[in-house]
Amino acid sequence: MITPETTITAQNPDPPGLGIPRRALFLIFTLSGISALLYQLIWQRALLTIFGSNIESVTVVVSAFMLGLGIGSITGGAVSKRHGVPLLLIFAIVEISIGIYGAVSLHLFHWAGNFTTDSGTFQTGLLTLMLILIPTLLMGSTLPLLVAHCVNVSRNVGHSVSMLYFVNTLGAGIGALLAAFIFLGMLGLSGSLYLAVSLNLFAGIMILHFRRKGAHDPV
Amino acid sequence: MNSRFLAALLLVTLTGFISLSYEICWVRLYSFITASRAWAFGAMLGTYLIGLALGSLWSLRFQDAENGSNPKHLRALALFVLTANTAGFLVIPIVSWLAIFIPYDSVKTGQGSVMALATLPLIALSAALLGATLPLICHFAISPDDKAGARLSYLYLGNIIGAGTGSLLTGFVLMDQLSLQQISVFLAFLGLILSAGIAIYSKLRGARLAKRLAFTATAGLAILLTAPPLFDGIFERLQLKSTYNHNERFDLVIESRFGVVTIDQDHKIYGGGIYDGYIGTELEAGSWMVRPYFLSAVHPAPREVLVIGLSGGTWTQILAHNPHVEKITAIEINAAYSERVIPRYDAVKSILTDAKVKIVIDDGRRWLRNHPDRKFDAVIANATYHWREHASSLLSREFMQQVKAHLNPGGIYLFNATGSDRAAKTALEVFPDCALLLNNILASNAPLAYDKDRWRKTLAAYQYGGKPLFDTNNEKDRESLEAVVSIIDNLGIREIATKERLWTKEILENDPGTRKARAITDDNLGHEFWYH
Repeated sequence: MITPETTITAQNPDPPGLGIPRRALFLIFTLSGISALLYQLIWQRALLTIFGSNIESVTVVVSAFMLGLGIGSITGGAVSKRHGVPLLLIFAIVEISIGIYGAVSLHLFHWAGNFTTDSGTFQTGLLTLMLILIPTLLMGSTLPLLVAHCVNVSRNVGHSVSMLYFVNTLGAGIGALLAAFIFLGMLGLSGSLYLAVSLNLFAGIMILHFRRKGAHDPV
Repeated sequence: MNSRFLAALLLVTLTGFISLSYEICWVRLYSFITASRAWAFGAMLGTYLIGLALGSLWSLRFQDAENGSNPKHLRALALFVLTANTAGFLVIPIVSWLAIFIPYDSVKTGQGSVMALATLPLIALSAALLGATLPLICHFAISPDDKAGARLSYLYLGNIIGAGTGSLLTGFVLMDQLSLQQISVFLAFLGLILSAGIAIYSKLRGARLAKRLAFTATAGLAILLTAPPLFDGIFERLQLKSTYNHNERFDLVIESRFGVVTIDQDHKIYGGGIYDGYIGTELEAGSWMVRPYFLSAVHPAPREVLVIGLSGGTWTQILAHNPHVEKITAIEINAAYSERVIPRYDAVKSILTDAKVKIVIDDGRRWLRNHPDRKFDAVIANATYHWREHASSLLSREFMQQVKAHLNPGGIYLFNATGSDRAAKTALEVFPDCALLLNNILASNAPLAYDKDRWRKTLAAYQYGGKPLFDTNNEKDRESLEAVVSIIDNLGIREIATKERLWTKEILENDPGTRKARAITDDNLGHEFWYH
């Protein structure tokens, strides 16, 4: 049972229930944000090139991102409600899963592009939607999972949401700027993609590393 | 769910809608001011997200750790929403006025576009104000218990639904029906109504509530009254920058979901803030317009032609009047050209009723992919500048291979490389024979053969509305015609002015620029991003 006394403060930055140094958690969630925006820009570009940059394709891609993040958020929230669930471990698995999907994503998109050559707009749109929905669902689940984990420890919703939303959104912003000004020009789509993949894998492995060191999720 | 949580859900949905709608407007703003550079979207989005993040951090100052449900949080929130929306409304006019201090964007250097990024702190500030709202609402509505994650997920979902609706409704419906000014006013009013609603819900009463509502109403009135002068001439300022003349207005400004098309008083077309063509079919020696006319110099009978990129319709009009051409399929992604630009101009409007011409609104690549059996004697793409967003999609190896598969034997692919050595290199890798005509690449799956006599006869047969392009009974016209076709005599001359250039494959291959260039692919994105 975590009590309000364990609130994260400057004097007590790493309460034992957190399972990971607070700064490490924030850094990992920043990296997760960077990779998410790299994926968004890469996938958006690749899909529009493969399926066409007409208004229908743009609509499908934008809707798929929003739908995936929304459903992912609900899923993450539902999981976080269950007692005894190791939230940090699930977060690590989600990050690694995003990385694995990312690694095969461009190949998958090209396969889908060839597969839908003779298909109508509806079938093509549906397939595009599914391709984006899977990883964005995983991405959307990360914030509720970590918020639940931190609130279990700190009992302060505003602080937990603000800090996690801050680091993740900051990471997303940095990711968009790095993609626009460095990575996409220097590494192209696939090079940037593998960079994003390695960030997800690093994030997941770091969480697993801290768990192995002995700190576990609160139950 | 209690009423506090439901109110919070409504709030996050509406703030999500407003935030993403502003983002859509700002994407349009920065795409236009940077002449559709690919990195503009990432730069704007990155700044916007960093602003949101900082706003979220800033919101901590307004949170009471002991009592999240204290109505004072809502009062702070009402002020945030009011300020954020007023700031959001002002971004576009302020950036447009700052733009006139930016040196005019030379298409060669792009310097002006980079300097446009100096205005991005305005976006960060507005986004920071918008970004502070979500954590404040969460702090107000979510109790710190073991259901916090789940409740957060509902609010987060509400915010995403609002954001998604904002993105789709504003991007695809409002942008098609309303101007940027009207959308900005609409969003500002939505924000003000939201702010007033929060103030009422926060249990402010009596004189304090009246004062807050009066302040909000005054802000609304100010926005309504100042919008017309603030937004007047925004596209002229954003496009012309330091060369903007206070009295100058474009002949036509079309805002649609596809983007912004402007046409100046000289009938020059600008798509997304950069030169995109000219309306007029006149031909004289030394004119850039020789390029579409040149088709008959290299093809004996181009009966079926595919045009990728209709734009203002000039090239399609020229090709439709080629006496050898029997059928043209013209693909254009932006319906505004055929619906609102072409019908206005006598020089091109007949293509809309020409039985030879079929206009298709689609993405060029998608159309080719979905019509694998269609073959053409010529494919013509007067593509946009090679550094613009999505330009590499029409210059990449993959696209050229797609075009090659749609050419009949001896078919011609003529495309505008706009001075890109990499585009030339790509064509050299894909097609057996290539040539450089001015700044266009002529490519074919067979050796290119030039026929000056055939071309002269074809040009002499050209007529627009019964009037010959060159009156061969008139000596001056005959001289003009001869001067035009004499460009073929320049074949193989390396050192020559760009507008008279006709380089063979050998010259093109051995040009130092082409030799060291890397081919454009779908993966490396050509010239679109920095560090290319």
